[in-house]
Amino acid sequence: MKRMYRCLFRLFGNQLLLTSIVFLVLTSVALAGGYATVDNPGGIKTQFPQQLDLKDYEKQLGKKLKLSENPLFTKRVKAGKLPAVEQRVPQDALVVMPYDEIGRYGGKLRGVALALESSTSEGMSWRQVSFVRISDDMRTIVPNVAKAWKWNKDYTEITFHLRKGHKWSDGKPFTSDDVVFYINDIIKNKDLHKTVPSRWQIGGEAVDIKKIDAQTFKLMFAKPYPGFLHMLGASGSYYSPYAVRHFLKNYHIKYNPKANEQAQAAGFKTWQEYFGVFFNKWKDAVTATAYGLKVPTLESHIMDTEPNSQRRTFVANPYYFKVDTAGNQLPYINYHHERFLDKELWPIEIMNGNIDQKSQNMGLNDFPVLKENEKKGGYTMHLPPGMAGPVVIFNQTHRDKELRRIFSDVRFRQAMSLAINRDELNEVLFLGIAKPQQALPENVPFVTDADRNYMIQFDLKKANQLLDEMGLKKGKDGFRLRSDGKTITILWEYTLQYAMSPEFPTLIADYWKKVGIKVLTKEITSALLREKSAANFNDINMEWFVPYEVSMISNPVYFTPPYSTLVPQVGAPWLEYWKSNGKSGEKPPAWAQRLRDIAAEWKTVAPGSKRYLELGREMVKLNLENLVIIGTLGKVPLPNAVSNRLGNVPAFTIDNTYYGYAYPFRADQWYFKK
Amino acid sequence: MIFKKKKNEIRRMDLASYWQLVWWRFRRHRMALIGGILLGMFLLITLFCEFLSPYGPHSRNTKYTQGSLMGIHFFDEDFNFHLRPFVYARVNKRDPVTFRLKAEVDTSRQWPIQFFVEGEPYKLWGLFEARIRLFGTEEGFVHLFGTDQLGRDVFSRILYATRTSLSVGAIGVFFAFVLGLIMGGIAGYMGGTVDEFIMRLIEFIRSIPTLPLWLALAAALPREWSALKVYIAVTVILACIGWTNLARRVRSRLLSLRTEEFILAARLSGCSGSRIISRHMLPSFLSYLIVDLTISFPYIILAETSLSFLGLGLREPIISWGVLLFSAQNVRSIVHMPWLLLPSLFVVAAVLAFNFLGDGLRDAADPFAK
Repeated sequence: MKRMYRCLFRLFGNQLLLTSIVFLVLTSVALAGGYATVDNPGGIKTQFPQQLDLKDYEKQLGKKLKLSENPLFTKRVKAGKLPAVEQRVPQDALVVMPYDEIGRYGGKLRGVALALESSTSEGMSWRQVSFVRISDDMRTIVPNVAKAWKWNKDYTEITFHLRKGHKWSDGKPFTSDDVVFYINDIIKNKDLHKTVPSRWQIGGEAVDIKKIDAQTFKLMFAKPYPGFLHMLGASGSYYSPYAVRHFLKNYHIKYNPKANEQAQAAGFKTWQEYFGVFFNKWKDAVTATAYGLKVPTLESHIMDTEPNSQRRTFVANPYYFKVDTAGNQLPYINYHHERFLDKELWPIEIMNGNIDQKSQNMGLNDFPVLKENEKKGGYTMHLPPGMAGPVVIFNQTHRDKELRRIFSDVRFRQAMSLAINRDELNEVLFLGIAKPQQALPENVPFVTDADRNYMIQFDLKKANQLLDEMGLKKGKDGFRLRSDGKTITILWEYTLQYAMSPEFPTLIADYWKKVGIKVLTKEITSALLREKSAANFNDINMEWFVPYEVSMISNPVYFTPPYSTLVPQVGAPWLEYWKSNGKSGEKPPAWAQRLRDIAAEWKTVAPGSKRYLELGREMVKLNLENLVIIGTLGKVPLPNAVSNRLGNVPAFTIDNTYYGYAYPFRADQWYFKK
Repeated sequence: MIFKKKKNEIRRMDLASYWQLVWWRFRRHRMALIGGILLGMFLLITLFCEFLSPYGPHSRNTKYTQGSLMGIHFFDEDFNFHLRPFVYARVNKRDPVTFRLKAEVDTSRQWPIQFFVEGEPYKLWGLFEARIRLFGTEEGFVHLFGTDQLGRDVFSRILYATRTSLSVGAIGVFFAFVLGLIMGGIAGYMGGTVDEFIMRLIEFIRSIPTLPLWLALAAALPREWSALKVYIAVTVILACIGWTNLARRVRSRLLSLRTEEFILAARLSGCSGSRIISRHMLPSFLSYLIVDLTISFPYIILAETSLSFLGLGLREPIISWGVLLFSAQNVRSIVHMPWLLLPSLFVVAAVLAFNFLGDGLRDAADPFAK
């Protein structure tokens, strides 16, 4: 069909639309080819890649698009339980181009995660929507729930337009009020947020919102916030600035004075707790309990059965706001089915053909066996670049004075970096396909190859020399000694989440042994490790995500102290110092202070501007000079298994948490081939 | 001739001591003999694993990670006999599509196996520095059982693991033995409420399903403990459960012996309680205790293995059979590196050997029984 279409296209060129109409008449199959796709846009022009508004599309078509729906809903429409598709889809529906062809309805997309709230981001990325989205070029910010926006000149005000007729999954309208509710009653509510989350603050002041009409509102910032859209786009739906007002206000003290009594009657202590089961920053937390069944959503699928520790299921949302270029309401796939299994069982299930798409948290080591069994399991393995390899961050504010002296000496960290044999590490643990490099932001214009290669060479002589210079003498057993004569012993407590495998710390410890540094490795739980990091008890931290440009623009915390939003990776006492305005904690060293100042200024600077590049360079320089984070490998591919039955799935170009795993590749237009 | 021999033997039987009779009886039990020999080998491994293993348990061969088994050859491809056994050279190659590391055999090059070679230095029993290892190669490397993910020699690791697993078993059984003797002795000798209490305690402990109990106890071990501490704790945990059987056996023997006439005689002669137990009672059922010990050994070994296999027992860098198996429980190991499952053969061998031996000993312990 596609080839035929292409031939016709070649013959008729611009007369494509005519061709397609003729085609439609000829075949009278609504779900056949002949419509604009990413593969072959056939003259349809779009402002944003791969998508456009319905009105714009109809204008280009020169006729009204006839909408059609999933047969799943037809019965309910006929019974009068559901309005017709024209009333369900917004007048300003979002028309998306399928990647390869118009899909067909039906099927069940099967995924796997660890638990209800563990490793579920990928399953979420199949159904999630957000205000704006990062396109699959990993740069362009495109409309999604929001129809359009306009900045003022100095990036302090942004006006958003919503889609007329956009409805929640219960059929109630989605309007500016839902955004106002989110900003004023959730983000700025003191009971729900003690302080306004930093992503909603700029220059120390919280965002303000002004409703203009049902589909229009304005956000105002105290200082320029050009990275705001990147913040909204990155990390998917976590930051979506809307909440289902007509439902949630029943549980909110401001709208329901009896909210506390109601919460207590339901078995909760306070209204905030009860509210929390219906609304959470982490969307998987809402679908973790049966309460989630009640919550209306804008996502492509709605939870349809009570979730349990084994599985969670979803059904297509009849009010979803997107259609394909043939006028079929999306999503194509009827059901999502997410199972919870131990990680070691994932490869077996994939090999048995029981999983349709999986990449999040997959181990690179499983790739060979999965690749060998591709045919048997009916899937194809891909290797899109994922995150950086594990990193090592020494605790420079260690409670032990002597260890602090050692860890905070940059020569020590340099020596540790030089003592790592990254090529061997790559061969042994990463199939030889990762790239040795320092820990630096990815896809940004201000990092050079020289930066990436800084002190990554394997040089035992230099490493020993640096340690000798520090005055760390070797004892009888070949291990270096502290100034009190005891052997320096590093206790490396790690979790598999960040070390990826127990072999990683084992190997690194082995390398360091060769320069006389004794390391004991021990696996502990993530929760315990975080507690220890927060209490400044750890020798080594590893909980670091490599920032990509989108997350770098919106929040540079992963490249400035404390290097994490969860738990300080470096300088827990410094963070306390900053938070208390110098009343408690410890005064940070000059470089840390400077990085903190840069981070504050960075948020107000337009991406790509001269100042942006200057600040970026300075951040890179300060981080490398102090070698805060010792990087090992970068661009570690993430194995991605995709069922051969799935259509319209492009090759993932980047597969990681910032871009929301499958989110840029639009799972709502994936479909099951016959 | 025949008559004469038979006559002699009868005479020998009559003159033989109890232990001689036990030995003769035991010798007739072929499986027990095999078990005994196997255990003897295990004992050798336990004592001399540094010497017997060609490499250290943690040293990595980066040229041969995830390498497969290397067979020892006496005949080369042209059927020429070599007095000195050799292995063929191996080169690790990565598949360009699947990125799988695969060892290619290079039959054009042979690496002869040397005996008593100088290898990595080690400290025998932590005391004597030495370098001599039983076998190895001067050129290339020899990994009889292949290597693991990091290129560590599986054969050497299994030998070291044997030491750990058997010593955990031995220490565990020893603790259990002492505890069982004391508790059973007290119960059997004192009787009354004490006996009642100890018996109920034993019943209570035994009524708890063992696996969940081990799991609970092992999970209670702080993750922060060092590997050595965990090692000791695991043996104590195993002993805490293992003593009950033995205590019961001791008690019942004591109870039945208490009414025997020679005990009564001893008591009438004014022997103290402890003397009666240690001089008169214990020797008369020591053989049963030994049997019991050998039979409880495999349980303790299996317990350690299953705990470590579940990730709750011993941990790296201490390696036991269970620890080795723990790291092999994933698809890539089973499909691509099945040799990582070899420790399970050792577990089976050890358990069978102990059971056979115990069986033989039980028969032999009562040489007068028909």
